[in-house]
Amino acid sequence: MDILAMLLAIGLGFGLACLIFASILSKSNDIGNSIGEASKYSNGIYYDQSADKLKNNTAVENFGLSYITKDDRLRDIPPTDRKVEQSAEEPRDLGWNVDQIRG
Amino acid sequence: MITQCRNCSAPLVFDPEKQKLVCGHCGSEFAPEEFKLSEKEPYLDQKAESMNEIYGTDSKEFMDCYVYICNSCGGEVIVNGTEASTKCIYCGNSAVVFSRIAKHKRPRTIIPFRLTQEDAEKAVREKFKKGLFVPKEIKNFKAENIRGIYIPYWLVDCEHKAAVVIQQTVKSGKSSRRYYHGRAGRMMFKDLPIDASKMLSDESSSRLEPFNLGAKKAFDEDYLLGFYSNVSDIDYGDLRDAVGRRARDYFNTHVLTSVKGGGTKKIYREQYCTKIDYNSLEYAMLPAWFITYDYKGKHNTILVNGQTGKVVCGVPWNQILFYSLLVVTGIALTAVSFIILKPILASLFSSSSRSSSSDSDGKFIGALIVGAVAMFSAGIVKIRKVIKSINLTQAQSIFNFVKKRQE
Repeated sequence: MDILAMLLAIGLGFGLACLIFASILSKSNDIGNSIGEASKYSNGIYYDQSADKLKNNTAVENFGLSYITKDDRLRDIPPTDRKVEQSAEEPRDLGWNVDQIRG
Repeated sequence: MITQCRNCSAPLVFDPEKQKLVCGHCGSEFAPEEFKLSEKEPYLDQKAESMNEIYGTDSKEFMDCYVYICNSCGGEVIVNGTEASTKCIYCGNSAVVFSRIAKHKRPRTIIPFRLTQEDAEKAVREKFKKGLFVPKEIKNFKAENIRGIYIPYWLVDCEHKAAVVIQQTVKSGKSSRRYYHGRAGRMMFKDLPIDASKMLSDESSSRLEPFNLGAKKAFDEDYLLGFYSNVSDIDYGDLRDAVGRRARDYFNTHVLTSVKGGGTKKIYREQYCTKIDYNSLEYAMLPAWFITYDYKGKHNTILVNGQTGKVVCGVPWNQILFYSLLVVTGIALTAVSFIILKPILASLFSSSSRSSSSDSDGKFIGALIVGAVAMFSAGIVKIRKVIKSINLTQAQSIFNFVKKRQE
């Protein structure tokens, strides 16, 4: 019983120590480890379908199967190995509210 | 020649503090907008020539070496395949390779440097001062090189469409239950910044974010004076991969938070598609200071966002101090845990001999064992993750991005 208590204590004690010191090390030496938040560039997700606690395997396997259509994948895209270039045309207004997106 | 002072014809340099072009000779100041593009017309077609072509060789050594004639003194400046501006080693003035940023290759916008070199160094020293595991030699580091570099970016508008199934695992005593939730939706992005330089890794450049993109200005070559810069050299495949990766990460992070309740959640199955609006791709130059220093014979590089002052670097850490403190604290916490757990286990084992409560006691001991193992594993995983992240920003590739430039 003492052995079990010791093993549990080592797991909890050293585990907690590792978590604490990993956080301190991250704050001390891993400086600037963050990227821009999604809210800087986007308004969030617009959900078209949502279902909680899918009832059975069939529902799980079939959810959203037809959501990405052939039209979504078929589009006129520049060749993969061509250098990226800016369009000569003026950028189109896509109707996205920039102020709303940027908050 | 390059943009000259209207009063004394000396070369001008962009001053981040004043946000103006300043003459080092007579102190005159000018707004970059005062100098028209038409004044630079004579230089727009002047190309950097490949050294192999000039010397008629096919040497690997000269593969990424180009010769450009300095706009100020006529000296030969060596640039690599993607530099748009550098410093002339003869006269010390800025040399802008106009042909690489002219006409259809011209960036649309730029965020001028806001931080001076001194501000950048000060920001770094402030950060290092606070670090418990930053070695003393690094806290008093001597910068080997400090270079202000405009990094090329593509600002991308795109739509990420995905259908995902999320698996939620909820623990209940010794057992656990799994639930599956479905989400299908679209996430639209505007001005998603994608680093356009192959030499600089996306993981490093993305940490410089966020930039305040509202402060973008129409591109003018004069903002490059006094700084280094690169042009975009990525292809559409690289762009699609980088955009797809980022959009997917943002989408998945958001969608996991839409599932209520506790437990662990992960993406079980997903289908996705990211559509980029290629017509609205915006080529921008964003500022960063690169500071290099030597520690124990190894080069280390610190990045500082040239607009916001955000410092990005993985600093070598004092391992002896770290592990000794970790072991001492581990022993102390183990002793405390043992003092707490021993009587609890003793009462559980003695009460379990009375059969009525042995089932719940067994579950409690099981939960303790699982908890101890989980805590230990989580601790080790977290330390490894932090060390990996520190090593990422010490990568040689960042140093290589800086080093091959004229002084």
